[in-house]
Amino acid sequence: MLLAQFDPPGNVPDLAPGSPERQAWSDFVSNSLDTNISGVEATVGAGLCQLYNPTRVDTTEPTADLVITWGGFPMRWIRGHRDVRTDAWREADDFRLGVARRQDEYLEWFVHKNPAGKITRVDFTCEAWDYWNFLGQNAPAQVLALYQTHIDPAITHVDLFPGGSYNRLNRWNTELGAMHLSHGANTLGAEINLVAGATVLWENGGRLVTDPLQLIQCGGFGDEIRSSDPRIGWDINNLARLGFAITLKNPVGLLIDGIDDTGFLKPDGSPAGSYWRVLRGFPGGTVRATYEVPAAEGFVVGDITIGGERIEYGGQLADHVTMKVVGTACRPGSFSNAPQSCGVPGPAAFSRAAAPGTPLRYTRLGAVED
Amino acid sequence: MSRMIRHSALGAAAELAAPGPVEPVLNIADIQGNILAGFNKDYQSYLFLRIKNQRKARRWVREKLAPRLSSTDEVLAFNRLFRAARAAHGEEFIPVKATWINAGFSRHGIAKLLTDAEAAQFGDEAFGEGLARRSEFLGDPSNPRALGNKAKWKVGGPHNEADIVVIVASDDKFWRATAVTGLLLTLDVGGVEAVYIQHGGTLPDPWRGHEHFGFKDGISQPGIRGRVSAAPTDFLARRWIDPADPRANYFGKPGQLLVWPGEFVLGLPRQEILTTGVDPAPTAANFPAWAQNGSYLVIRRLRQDFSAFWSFVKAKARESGMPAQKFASLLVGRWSSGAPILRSPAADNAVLAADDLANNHFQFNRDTTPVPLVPLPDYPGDGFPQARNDFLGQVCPHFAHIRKVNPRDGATDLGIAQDTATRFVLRRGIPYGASLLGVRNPTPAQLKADRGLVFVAYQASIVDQFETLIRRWTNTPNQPALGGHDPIMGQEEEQGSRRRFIDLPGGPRCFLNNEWVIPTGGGYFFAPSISAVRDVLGAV
Repeated sequence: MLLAQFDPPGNVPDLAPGSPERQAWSDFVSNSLDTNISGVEATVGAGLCQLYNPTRVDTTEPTADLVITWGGFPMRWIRGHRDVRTDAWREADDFRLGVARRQDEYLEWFVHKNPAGKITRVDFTCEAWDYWNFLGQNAPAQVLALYQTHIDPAITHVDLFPGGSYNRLNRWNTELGAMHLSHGANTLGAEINLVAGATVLWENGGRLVTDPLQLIQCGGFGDEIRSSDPRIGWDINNLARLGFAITLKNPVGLLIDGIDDTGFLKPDGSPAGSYWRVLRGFPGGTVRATYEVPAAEGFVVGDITIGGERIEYGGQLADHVTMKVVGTACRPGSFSNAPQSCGVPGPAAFSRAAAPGTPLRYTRLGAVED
Repeated sequence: MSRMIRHSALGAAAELAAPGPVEPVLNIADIQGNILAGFNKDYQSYLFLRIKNQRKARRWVREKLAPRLSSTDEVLAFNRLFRAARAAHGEEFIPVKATWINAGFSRHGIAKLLTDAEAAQFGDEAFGEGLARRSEFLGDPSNPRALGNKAKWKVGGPHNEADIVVIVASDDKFWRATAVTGLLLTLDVGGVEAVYIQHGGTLPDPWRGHEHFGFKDGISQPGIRGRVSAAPTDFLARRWIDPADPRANYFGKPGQLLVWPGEFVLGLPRQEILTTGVDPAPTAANFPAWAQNGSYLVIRRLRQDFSAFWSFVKAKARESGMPAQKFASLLVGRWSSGAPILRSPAADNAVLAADDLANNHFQFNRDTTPVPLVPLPDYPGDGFPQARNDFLGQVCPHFAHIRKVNPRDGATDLGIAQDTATRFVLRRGIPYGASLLGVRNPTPAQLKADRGLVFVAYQASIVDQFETLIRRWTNTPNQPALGGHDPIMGQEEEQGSRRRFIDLPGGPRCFLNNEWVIPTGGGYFFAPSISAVRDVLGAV
């Protein structure tokens, strides 16, 4: 069965059903898939890419969904500060005017504090900035309305669209808030590109490559220092090795699966309540959420302890957030592609160039620059 | 573009042959013996002590405790002798016995013996907080009326925390009792008092080495890199794989990943997690200098409800149309004998279970291939069926205990599989209480009796190792992979809800409405080097 149309991430109601804008978004996703499929076919041969575009190729029963999960706090900072976790929290809680956040696991957050310096609220988002660039071009009034709802009612059109174009690194998405992902690599295009590259099989010295790190080194489809990229790539590659036809489940998007608040305690030592509110998307498929203690409780987020440690950084909460993407697999055994040799150019040669958005530059442990 | 792939332990063998890395000579005369060598004694006691008087306690530590501590070299030497005696005389008539003693100190204990500032130099946040304050974080019940709530713990709760734990282990029950009594007699004048004493012991034959639910325990342990003398191949973890095979650089026994000792002992080189290479990463530096050659020690007194576990298993096995032993093996990932279900999916295989060179040789996500070994004249070879790729968890479910706590070759929610080697702990636990295994028609009193496991684990970071295994993997249904909670160790405590589930392969979601492993005590401790116990904590 063919998919009629790709929906916005998290099924958010930003684009009216049946509207040209909604179709345009679907076309954007569809084109991204087509571009990446073509890129892979340049390597593996025409018709042999195991990733397919479900608006063009049937998804046939039986199907299986593969839920791929990873931790929301950047592994980059955990490994960079292996022995002093507080330094990792501090590195990630860095909010500067016009600068992308250093949070690169497709989850970003912004910390609100009271005059006493205690955290009162942490906003989380996993909305890719290429979706927001799309909204900026196709539904600018909606962009302004969302900023006014979630960040500050006083924001004006010109604040977000200086010179007429949407500025994703505007003040209210960097220094003063987090409306959507800002990090250069945190795009839906990157997700599609990663999944496409991960469908390629690799061999090294005559042996099929199965190790997650070797795969990412062979395929060049992401950043090995993250939790997310090697995880997504390895899971998809496993499906590919089993010969499945693979696609991303509609709506294509990066999702917050939820927060595990086990061990979060109120100041009186009792379990913290349900302070996680889904603002966009749905439970299990959230794209925006906030963690805030209702005023009636008489304390704030910064008074909560996790394992005895008071919450002083947004990253402490992000460490308890689980992210996910969902792949769909069908037709097991329908592919038996020959693996590519790891010593010759492969999808890495096309991967970054084909990815929508700005070309990326990676550093070993520092911030990813865009 | 050319991509040169380095060796990797976890993926397919790499293309380059390279000599193994130079491994450090371990200070086995100073590292406590239970950490790296493991006591492996049939009778063990855990003396949880509280310090009443700093001056007296320091003297006690120096004069009564430190001289009795058993080092790694003592334990290794005895273990060699024991193996030789067993080979010569048989299991029933081993003419050598030993009694070992080791110790650990809590953060408060160190503060009492030294200063609070000194204790604060330990960078591990969990150790700083102590087990009681981490209890809910580990998923323990927050309801004060629940049996596992920390307020009800036998030891280690908010009002009965121990400053010191002394482990007494022996091959002989009476020798153990003598050693325990001897130590207790020294306490009164030593400014130290006993908070709680927990005796433990291996279960009687044929269940020796099994835990109370009936499963063989402690099969999979990491191989610890390092040498015990200056000789180039005098390794702590014996190497069994043909050196011509690239896997020899990564595994001791087949399936036993070699891990740098700094993952377990402070001040030593540890696993590199940014490359696939075998070279180590530098040691940590978040501890006082005197803590070198010491290890963090986690003790959890876990009560096991035999009746609850097997009632659940039998009921669900009936619903699923499979034998109870088969259903139980899905929960653990091994049959009760210890045979891995990935290598023997249809039925238990006691011969496979008894073969240490085969019973841990498998990966979850690719077909496992035979490994050539060094010449072993008496070994017939691993002729058991090899494990097949089980990425989808159709044979060994993603919720299975052994897959939860060691996902082996799989990527996880924490990224590359190499990260997993930094999560291992050295398990040294032992059962306590009378066994019900093989007991026909147990009485209600027998069913209600307190039995369980003294879970004991050594590591270099409680936060990154024990707590990560528990918090991220056993206690969540979707990590390292979606499939349910660990039905053996996993707990759920989300805003008071303790609802857990497992997704049976090809079957319905199965909710675990009862709990059969219940925390009833423990503590976070640090096991220093013997010289540090004597000269620093026991300084007078």
